[in-house]
Amino acid sequence: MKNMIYAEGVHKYYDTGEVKVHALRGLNLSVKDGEMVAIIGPSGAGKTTLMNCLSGLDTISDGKIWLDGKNLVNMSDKEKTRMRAQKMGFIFQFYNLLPVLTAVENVEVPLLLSGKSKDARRRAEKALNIVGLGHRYDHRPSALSGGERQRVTIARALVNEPDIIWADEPTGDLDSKTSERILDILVKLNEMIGHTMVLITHERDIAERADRILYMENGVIKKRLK
Amino acid sequence: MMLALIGLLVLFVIFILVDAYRYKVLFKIGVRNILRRKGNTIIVIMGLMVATAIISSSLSVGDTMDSMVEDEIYEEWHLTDVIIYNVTAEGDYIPMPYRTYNHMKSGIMEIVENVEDVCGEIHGHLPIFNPETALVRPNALFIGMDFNESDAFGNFYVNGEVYEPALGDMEIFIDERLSNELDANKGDYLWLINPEQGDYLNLTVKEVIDNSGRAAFGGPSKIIMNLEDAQMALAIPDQINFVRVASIGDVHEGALYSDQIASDIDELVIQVNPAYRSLGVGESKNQILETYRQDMSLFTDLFFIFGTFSIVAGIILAINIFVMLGEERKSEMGMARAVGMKRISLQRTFSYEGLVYAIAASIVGIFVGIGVTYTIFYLLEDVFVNVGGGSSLLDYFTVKIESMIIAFGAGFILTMGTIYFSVRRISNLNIVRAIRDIPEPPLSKTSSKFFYMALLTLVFGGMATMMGMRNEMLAPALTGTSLLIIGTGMIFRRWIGDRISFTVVGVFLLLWWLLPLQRYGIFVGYEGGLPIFILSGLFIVTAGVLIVMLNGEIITNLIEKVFSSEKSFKAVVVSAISHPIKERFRTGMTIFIFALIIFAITVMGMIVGIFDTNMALIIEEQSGGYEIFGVTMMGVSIDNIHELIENETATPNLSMDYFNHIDTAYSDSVDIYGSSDGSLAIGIDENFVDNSTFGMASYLEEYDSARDVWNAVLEPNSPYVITNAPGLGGGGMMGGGAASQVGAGESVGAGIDDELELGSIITFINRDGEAVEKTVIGFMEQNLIQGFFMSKETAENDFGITSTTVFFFNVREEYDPDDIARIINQEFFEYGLQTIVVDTIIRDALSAAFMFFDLFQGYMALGLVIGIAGLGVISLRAAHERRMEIGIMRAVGFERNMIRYSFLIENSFITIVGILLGTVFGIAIGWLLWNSLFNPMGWEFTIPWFSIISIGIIAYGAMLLTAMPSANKASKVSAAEALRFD
Repeated sequence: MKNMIYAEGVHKYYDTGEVKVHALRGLNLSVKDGEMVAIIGPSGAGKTTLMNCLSGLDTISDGKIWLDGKNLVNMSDKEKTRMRAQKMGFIFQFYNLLPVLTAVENVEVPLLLSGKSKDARRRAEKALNIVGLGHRYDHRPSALSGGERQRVTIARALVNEPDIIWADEPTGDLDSKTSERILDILVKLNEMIGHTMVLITHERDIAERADRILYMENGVIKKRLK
Repeated sequence: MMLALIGLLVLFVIFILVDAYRYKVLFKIGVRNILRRKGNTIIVIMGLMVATAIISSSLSVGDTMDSMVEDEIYEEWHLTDVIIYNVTAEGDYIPMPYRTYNHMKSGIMEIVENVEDVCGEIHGHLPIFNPETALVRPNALFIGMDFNESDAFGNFYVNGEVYEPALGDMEIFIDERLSNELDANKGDYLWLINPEQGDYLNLTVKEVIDNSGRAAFGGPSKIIMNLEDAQMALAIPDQINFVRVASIGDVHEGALYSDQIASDIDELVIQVNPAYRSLGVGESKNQILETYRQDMSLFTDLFFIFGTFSIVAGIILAINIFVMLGEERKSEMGMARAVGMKRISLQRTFSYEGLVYAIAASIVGIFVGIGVTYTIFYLLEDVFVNVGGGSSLLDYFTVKIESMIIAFGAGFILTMGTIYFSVRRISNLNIVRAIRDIPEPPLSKTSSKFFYMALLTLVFGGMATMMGMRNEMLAPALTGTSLLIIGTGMIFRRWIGDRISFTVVGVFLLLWWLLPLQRYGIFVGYEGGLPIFILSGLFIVTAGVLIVMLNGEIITNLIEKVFSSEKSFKAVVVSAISHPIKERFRTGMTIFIFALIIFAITVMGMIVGIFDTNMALIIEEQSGGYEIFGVTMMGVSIDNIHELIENETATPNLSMDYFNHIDTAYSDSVDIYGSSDGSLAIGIDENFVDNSTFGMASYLEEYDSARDVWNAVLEPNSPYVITNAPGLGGGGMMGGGAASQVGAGESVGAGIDDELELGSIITFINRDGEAVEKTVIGFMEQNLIQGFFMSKETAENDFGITSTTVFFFNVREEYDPDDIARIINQEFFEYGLQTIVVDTIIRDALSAAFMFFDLFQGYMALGLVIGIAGLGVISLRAAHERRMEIGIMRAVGFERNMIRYSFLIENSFITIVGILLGTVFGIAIGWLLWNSLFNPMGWEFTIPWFSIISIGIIAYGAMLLTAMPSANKASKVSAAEALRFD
């Protein structure tokens, strides 16, 4: 199976003006197509930084990153944006939905941005149905519970049928019962659709649902736990 | 032009709407954001509409002024469209034989197109006296006309009804104003006196007519009489001296033909016949309309210029609001970018939102501006009715559709520009930091983008400086040099950091703008004007804000020390102050708004205060120690005024007991080589020099004192004259201002007002046609009596002037100068002696000016409302943003009141710093103005503390009211809830 994500010798420095932080220290990583990988580690290990760098949300200071065989480092901001719109889906801890749009409109956004407006509404509704929110199409985020909002986020991440899904602490803001339900959905989707998924978390039991668990500390992958 | 503007606006809106159609989802997000927080939307629109409101207000001021003068001119000229006359150097109309006039009339009717009729009249000014009431009008206009000649010039009216005019011998009509002035009614006798002839006509008032229709010409207070009687009054039988021409069409249409008729009459009739050449085409109706429109545009410009501060404040508020909207939506924008929204898409979303705001704000702004103008005119009523003698401004209140379109267009462009600037800043976010809502790190010292901006600033600064120096214009020169200072600071931050470099920039800017540069020989003689006032405000306030914001820690440390013993209060104060100091951009902008407006209001207050304090000095300067000035009709001499006053038969109501002394001067018009206007020669004597206290604005260095200058003029065969200081022309009771009259652009060079200087040699032409050269050795401070002052002997020997026509009355303290002036007018009516009471005329003029200043201050105070609104927005936002922090504060022991105080202290800090900066800089600029303009005249410097402190208290009080809701909201936050806050 081909490598969907491949990173080699990745370094990331943050210069805050007062202090310089070495967040990633020559990190190496590869994720196979369709694989679900969980990255765990303590706070400050560099998990989110890694995800941001691998997804093109942030730039790296040194190293190489290939996504689906394409060199991310050489891409312009425009190309990275296009790639995110077409090939990636994101799930964040705090949902980050557009409050002025309804659930279905929020899900529809990535399709419209990547120019797939033809059957955008139908696909958005389908995605919401998959996550069990068929009855909540026209509700705005403020009218949804935390779990429901996160499910809208998942639907939004899925709607574009992306190759990679990035999930950064997707259950961090939810109670354990809701967290369980969200994870069920993510795992089921991974099995069903077969996209690559990178799950960032600091909880071991959540990570256990992934195919592979990597432990990260001080900006490098220290060991494989599963 | 108008169509082009409308076209451009429509095209722009269509372009955005088409774009919005292509990106429906972005449009949807943008538009829904508008409805998201209605309170925010209202505040955004209020902030954005300010620029439009000020523009709309300025334009509606112009429209109303135009409408007023147009209506008055149309009313006065009625069906008259062109007037033909000429005047002598003394101001008398030049007469022509009736037969010649008849030929000319035939010529006009035959050759010139669009003429309906022509009529010949006698126009003149003579004293009119009511023997019954002993009331006099020294210089009344009388018009003699042949009522049968033409009816093309309109009807006469009595009480609004058409009146058929028919006058018997020695019968006259008077208008209502004159009827009131003389207390004369139908059937009364009035004497029309010709002082030169020493004769008078005894006339009977046949009717008091309305000052409208055909009788309106020449303004109110006039006499209409038979042509023959008028000819008799001026002793010019069978002659006319004034020709009116009516065009086809009504009152308004006539104006359209008037220029063509005037020029055809001049070219085709007058110039081809030598017999007519003593006449000239005076004015056309349209020409008069255009001249007045231009004069009135000054008001539009002034209101616009004073409104600039509020426009700037509005723009800053709008930027502040948009930046806060950006911060509020930061994480959702980050997310949108993460899922594939391009930077331009974010800009689009905000632009669509901004488009709706801009349209709404521009529409609201138009009407708010109109409302502001209406309010101003409502308040201005007193100025015009009491001082200007005009009618109610509100009657003329007009807003033209063109003005509304221009206001909308200009406001829309400004608003969209502001939005574009803000949106560029907002969209430039870092996705990761935005998603996690992490504050942006400080700008890197080595930022190449900032470095290029610095270079660009230096280039612009250099170009502007060179342009200013090349054209000797102060605005680009000072702006350019200021940009050079800023650009240098921007470069140096790379090595020494923001704090030191921009503090130094601030200090240098302050020094640059607040030091009297001319004293150091920099930019001497450069053209300045009102833009300098605006630029000084912008740069000085920017400098002050930079210094304060970059040294905020010093303020915090200071406050910590002050409250070191009050531990709990210290915690409240320090936490309150640290927020605004941390949020530099937001706080700096708000302080800027406050400081800028307070600065402008303070400068204006300083000017009013200086004038107010020096009122007695101004009156002293202008009066020369005399309470009343008197001038007879041109050429009518009162050689023995002292004897006449002492003679009980000649002047039964006057006595020398009323006066300390009366001084006299010869005067008559003189020609100046190369000038078509002429000027006045005023011959004074030693008594005048001994008794008067007229000061000199300046005199040649070789004289030790003003007295020496006068003595030089009094010397036998003196080659010297004294005149009024350049720039003081106009507003006098006689003369036309020597400085403005001497052959402008001719014998002594262009722009005599600037050219005339100490030592200038003026070439006069005396009555024998000989050239007489005189050197100007002093400039007087007074400008009520304008002309060239010389000795009586010089006036007589060199110019043949021996008429005593100017009188200076020093009234004893126990008598009221106004009463005495009235008696003088009555007793010397046959000489056409007109008086002015110096104290009254100056106080009236200054009080009118003060009212205008007050209104301009009010106009600028609009900006203060913006500042307070801006602070309210920030405060409300802060209460929302800091819920978590407030929760923590409550959890660790802060009481509700402490939270409330913390918010109020934070807002107080911003307001007080703004007020202090504005006040201090306003006073400093006020001092500079005084130092350069008023100090040389010996005026006292004053700071109007009462008005300055009142404005500060009002601003602070208003801020407290605005900030209270957010402070209360913050204090009511529940700790448990806030700590769960998402």
